Order: sequence, then C-alpha cells, then structure tokens
Amino acid sequence: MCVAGYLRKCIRGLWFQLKGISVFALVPILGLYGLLPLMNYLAYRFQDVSGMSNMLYDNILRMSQYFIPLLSVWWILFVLEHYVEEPSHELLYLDYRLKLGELLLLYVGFLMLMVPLFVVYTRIFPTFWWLFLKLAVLNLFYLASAYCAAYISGKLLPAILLVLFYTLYVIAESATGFTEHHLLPLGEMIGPEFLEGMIAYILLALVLLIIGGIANYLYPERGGGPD
Amino acid sequence: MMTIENLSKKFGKKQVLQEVSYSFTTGVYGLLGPNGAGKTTLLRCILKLYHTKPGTIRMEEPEGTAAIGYLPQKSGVFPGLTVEEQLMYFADVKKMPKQDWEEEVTRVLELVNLSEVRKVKGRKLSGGMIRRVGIAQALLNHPPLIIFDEPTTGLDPEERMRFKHIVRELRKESIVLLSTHIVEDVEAVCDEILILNQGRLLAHGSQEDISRIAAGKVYELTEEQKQPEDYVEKETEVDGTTIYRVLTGRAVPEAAEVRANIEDGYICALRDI
Repeated sequence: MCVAGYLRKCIRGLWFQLKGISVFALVPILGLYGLLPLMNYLAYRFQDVSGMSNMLYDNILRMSQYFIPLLSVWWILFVLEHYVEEPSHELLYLDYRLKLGELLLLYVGFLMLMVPLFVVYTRIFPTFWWLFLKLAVLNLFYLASAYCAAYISGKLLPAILLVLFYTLYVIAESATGFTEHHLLPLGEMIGPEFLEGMIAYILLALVLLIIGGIANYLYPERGGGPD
Repeated sequence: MMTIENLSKKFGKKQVLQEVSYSFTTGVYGLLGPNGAGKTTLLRCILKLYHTKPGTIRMEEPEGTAAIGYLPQKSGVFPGLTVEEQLMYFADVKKMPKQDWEEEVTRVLELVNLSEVRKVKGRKLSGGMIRRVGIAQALLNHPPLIIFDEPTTGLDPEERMRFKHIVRELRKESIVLLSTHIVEDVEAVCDEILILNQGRLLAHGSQEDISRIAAGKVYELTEEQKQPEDYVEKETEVDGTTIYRVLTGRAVPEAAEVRANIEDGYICALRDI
C-alpha cells in the first residue's frame, strides 16, 4: 500500500476509534480552548488589577507546560486501550502490527490543534513559538512513554499512571520546590538554549519509541500460550 | 485451498503445537479439543498473529486481511459507535471499497438478525448482540477463509440455530474453521473434524470416521458389569437400576454394544481407549 493510501486508511480508522469514545474525544479541545484560556484570562485580570505585567506571561508558560502534554496524550491513551486491552483486539493486528503510525498521526493532529492557540499567544509574547517547539518535544516524550509503558505491561493503567506522575511531579516541584530535581525546567528556552535543554527529552523519546515499537510488534504473541 | 505443514509453536519452554499438518478445501472443519489442546494457537498461527518456526502455511487464495474473516474467542465493540459504524470500521480494515460498505453491512446484518439495531450504539448492546456483531464482521467481504473461535458463546438457542444455518451456507464458497468445545455444534455443521490434544493432531476425518474410532467400545452396563478402568460418560436410571454408558477397550460379551457417536470417538481419541 502506498504512503498516501496508508495515511488515508489510518485517518479513517482513527476517525472511527475517536468517534467510538463519544464525548471523551472532546476533552483535548475543551482543555486547549476552554480551560487554558480561562486560566490565562483570570491571570490577565489579576495582572490588570495588581499591575504585575509578567503575571500573564508566567501563567501561559506554566499552565501550558503543566497541561498541554497531558492533553496531547489523551486520544493516544484511548486508542492504546483498544489495541492493548479490548477483548477482540487481535482483530486489529491482522492488518498490520505496528500501531505507531496511527499514534504519530494523533500527535501531529494535536500539534495542529495547538496552532491557533499559539498564534494568539505569540501575538502577545512573540518568543512563545519556542514554547510551541518545547511542547512539541514534551508531547512526543509523553507519547513515547505511554506507548512504551502500555505495550511492555500489556495494560493501559501503567501508561496512565506514568503520564499522570510526570504532570503531578512537575506541578508539585514548580509549586513547592520540594526536591532539587527538576523533571522539566519550566523556563522559556530560546535559540541554542532550546536544543541544550531539550536534547535529552528528544533522545529519550526516541529510545522509548524504539522499545515500545519492539514490544508492539511482539504484542500479538503476548496473549499466547497454552489455550 | 489451504495447506499447513509441520506447524509448530513454542511459548517459552512449552511446546504448544507439534508438527501439525493438514490440507483444507472449501467446507466446514471442526477443531475439537480440551482446554490447552492448542486450538486457539493453531488458529492464530494460521492468521499469522504468531510466528511459526518451523512450519509453513500456504493459501491458494489471495492472502491478507481481505481474504480472512475472524471471530476471536472474546468479542468487544466500540461503545460510542453504532452497530453499522462498527461494521464499517471493519469493512475499512478489510480494505473494502467505500462504495460497497453500505450494501455489504446491510447483507451481514440481515444474516445475523441485527438489522433492527443497526443505529444502536455499542454500549446499549447485550452480550449476545455483541457476539453477533462479531460474527457479522467476520462475514464481511465474502472471505475465502473464515475462522470462528468458540462462536456460539453467549448466543441463545434460536441464535445458535441461525448461526449453524449461516455456516452451512458458507461451506459452498469458503474454508470455515470452527473451534469449539461443544460437540453438538460440530455434529450440526462440520464436514470434517480435527481432534487436537497437547498440541498434536490426534485424529481427523468425517463425522463417520470420528465415530468409528469408538466402534465396538461403547456399552451400557450395570453397576455389577462396570469395571474401574471403564470411562463413564453418563448415568441414567431405568426402572430403579442405574445404567452406565461407558467407553472401554475390553470386550464385554454379556452387554449389548451401543452405536458410537462423535463424542464417543472424541473421548476415545483423547484418552487413547
């Protein structure tokens, strides 16, 4: 099958799968265009009252890094559930084994969903395109972690717990500084600093994708054994 | 036609399939065997879900998803999709042209008697309906090879009869493999029977061939006539006397021989009676 045909097929399949989860499919959209702007707006109103001009900047920087990676992996977790835990999931491996292509399509789809929001953000703070790139790397890291955890464990729960752990740790660390170990430095990274700061996440994401890919390929045999 | 040669499969140190060879032509084949016999493993090897080494599987028909219908042991549906949408999803998986989806989905829904619920969402379906959706998706696109793994689980008697009728129709144009514990299902529809145990093909043949394995070994005995080594299939009370239907390799001249059936042949093959 040619690449275009493969992509068309993946997109159609994902359409059915996301439709299959009903209203839960809307959570990332509501998060990006409901929850985040609401928090930004409240910060802006507070800034207006208090006169602290960097309140909005700080709010966008923090809230987007707290929540956007988690929202980015929402659809991916539901789709992984179909591939890993659904009673008749074997049917989904008759066509082709590796499901990473579909997950990457969801990743790209979510990035495209983020674009209008960041068009607005960069009108206010022009350097936030670097934040967009940083989030693109973090979203990939979350995807890779969920993919690897789901296929290695054969269950969705470890994947959910892992991405929740990242999010809660980052929020707790930045709010309280309770350890000196930053899972994710929340500051803005511009120019060469971006690559220095994010190269570890890029490499780790690639390693997790490779390990997850191997576990994915072998997954149909995992359910086997004396029947 | 499909030929499997020396199919073997190991999980860890456990040899689950051992050098299974067979040739299949159009018709219905029953896979009988106890739990752990290797039935589902054999089916998954044929589906290429499992890599097999050594062993080969050759099909004369075009290979790939479009050529296979498969109903796994356990069925599931997407809770938010209607019955129609579930089947369209699988029509897409089977690489059917989009313009054919509507007609083909209508056809299979009529076969499994789910036309009236085609717009009902998956979360509102009963267990039996979910199973029938599974059967329907296996029938999409008239596949030349159809594999049913414990297909009648969860079906009421009327739907089991309907399923058997569907399978009888399929024998004309497809190879149908039916894995089941229920001998009655095999008796109703299968042209040939394969008996598996501990990964080996113990016996195969027509229904008469399998019954013949137990020829001369089935008796109805009283308590006094029965021996400890006899395999008791069932007990019945006749005029206050317990009569045992047994399978035994010894000659029992004082008792009348009973006509053997498929279940007798199956048990004789398993227990080497």
